[in-house]
Amino acid sequence: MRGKTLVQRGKEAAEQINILGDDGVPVEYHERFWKSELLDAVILQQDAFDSTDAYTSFERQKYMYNMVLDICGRSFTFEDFEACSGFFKGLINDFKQMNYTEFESKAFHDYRKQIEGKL
Amino acid sequence: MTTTAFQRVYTRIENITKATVTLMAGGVGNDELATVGGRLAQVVKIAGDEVTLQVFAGTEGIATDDEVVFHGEPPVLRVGDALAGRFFNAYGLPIEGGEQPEGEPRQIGGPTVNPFRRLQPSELIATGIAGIDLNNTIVTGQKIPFFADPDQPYNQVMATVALRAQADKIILGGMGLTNDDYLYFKNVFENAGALDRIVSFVNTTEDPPVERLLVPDMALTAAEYFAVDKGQKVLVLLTDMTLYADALAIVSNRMDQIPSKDSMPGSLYSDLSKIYEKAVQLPSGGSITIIAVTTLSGGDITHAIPDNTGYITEGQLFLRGDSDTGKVIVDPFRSLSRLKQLVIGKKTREDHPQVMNAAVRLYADAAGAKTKLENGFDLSDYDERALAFAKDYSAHLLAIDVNIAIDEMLDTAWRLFAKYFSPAETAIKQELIDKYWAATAAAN
Repeated sequence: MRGKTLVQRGKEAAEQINILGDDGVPVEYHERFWKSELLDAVILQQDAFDSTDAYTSFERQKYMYNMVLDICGRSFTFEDFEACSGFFKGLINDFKQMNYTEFESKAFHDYRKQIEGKL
Repeated sequence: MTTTAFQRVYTRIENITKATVTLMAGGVGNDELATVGGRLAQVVKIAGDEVTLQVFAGTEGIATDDEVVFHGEPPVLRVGDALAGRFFNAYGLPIEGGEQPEGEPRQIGGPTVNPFRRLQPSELIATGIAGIDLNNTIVTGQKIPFFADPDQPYNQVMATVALRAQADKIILGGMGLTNDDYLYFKNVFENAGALDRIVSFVNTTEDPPVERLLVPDMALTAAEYFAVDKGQKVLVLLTDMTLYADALAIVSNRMDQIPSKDSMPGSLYSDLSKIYEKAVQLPSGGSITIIAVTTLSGGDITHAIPDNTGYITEGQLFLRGDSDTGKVIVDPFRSLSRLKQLVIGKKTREDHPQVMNAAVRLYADAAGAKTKLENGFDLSDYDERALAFAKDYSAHLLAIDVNIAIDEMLDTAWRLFAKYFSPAETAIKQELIDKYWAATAAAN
């Protein structure tokens, strides 16, 4: 339910950004939008062409979902919207790489540590 | 057709409508051909002894005492290797003279292959067009239409596909072709020296429109001969299925059937699926792949013809004029080949799925940036790069005049990624980045 609200709020923020322009809204709007993008890219989108990502166990889903929700619950301070989008694009990439590695493998935890290091 | 001994000649027509004649006759079969006053006709309705015949060329000028002779069989095609390189009309007779090829006569429009006797398609058909091979790979045994506006060069694309596709036989079913298009196909095939593997069934706009109902069945009967009997990979091109459906509508209208949506007959779905379901992958290695053209009126995909087509076929390909590059491209957002996952990354290079997805995602980012630009907002650095990427991507990969191998398409995509983006922005699997990014960057 929390995730659904996050995606909805992200969509609302995206609409405002589209109407008012990147500079026309506070950076918090961008943050809200990119949090929903993170949830979308990491949890909602699945790469059916990838043998690992095509099969995701319940534990793994729960683990990843909690990790994403934890990030979405934090507040960040960005200088401008470009810094915000850059940061989240990096995170999305790390999370995607994590999705491509086997659950609880060494590479999986390496990516987790890399993500935690960025926060 | 000349009459043979002991053949009954009927000379009393009971009723004449715009397209049909009715008479009393016995021992007549459904779909049987007949000659009415020298014109070809086909049985469309039998009620007791009352037989209704559809006269392909129309009934104008036919008198009630004209001679009616039944041929005793439905339309047949004489199949054999001699079909190759020839152009036939809707009755399977050679256009522009020449000998009728010898061969075993086969009834057209028979049942499709039993699903139990089929194999899951798993072999790709390369066309050299990246909008198809890279983003929407076509597989043998697939049925897929081009949804195109009438002003788009779909027949040129079809001819290109026919010449490049690695198929053993190509069967062209042309319905309502303009004479220009007919000559275009003829010239292109002749100049390419590819006539020996092409068989064409053509109904032009000069022929009666109702005749074109026989064209797909003729083409597919020939295709079944080469695929089933000879174990060949056959590619069937049908253009334009909208005109076929229009002919169906004319017939059903004249037979006083109640029209369905868009004045199409209620049987439209069955009529279309009877054709498309002939696409098959046989265990022997033979296959029939169908690529059709469905022209849209005003780009309306909710019209009954594209709508029903979309439920039957395995995806669709959209052509779009791209004003940024001035080229016709295969639209990656609206096109989909539903069987592509059977070959992508399996029969092609391992990086294919990820490169395909990343490129389309970045192209979508560019579409967003374009909207921003049109709305008068400042573009970020990323937006600028996405737009520049989109232009290159469109010109070097999506355009229909591209003709390269799939590995080359992938290399081109990598080159564009490296030129405009950072590895993290593509979000491609690290393993593949390590393997291909550095190699591309070094080559640049």
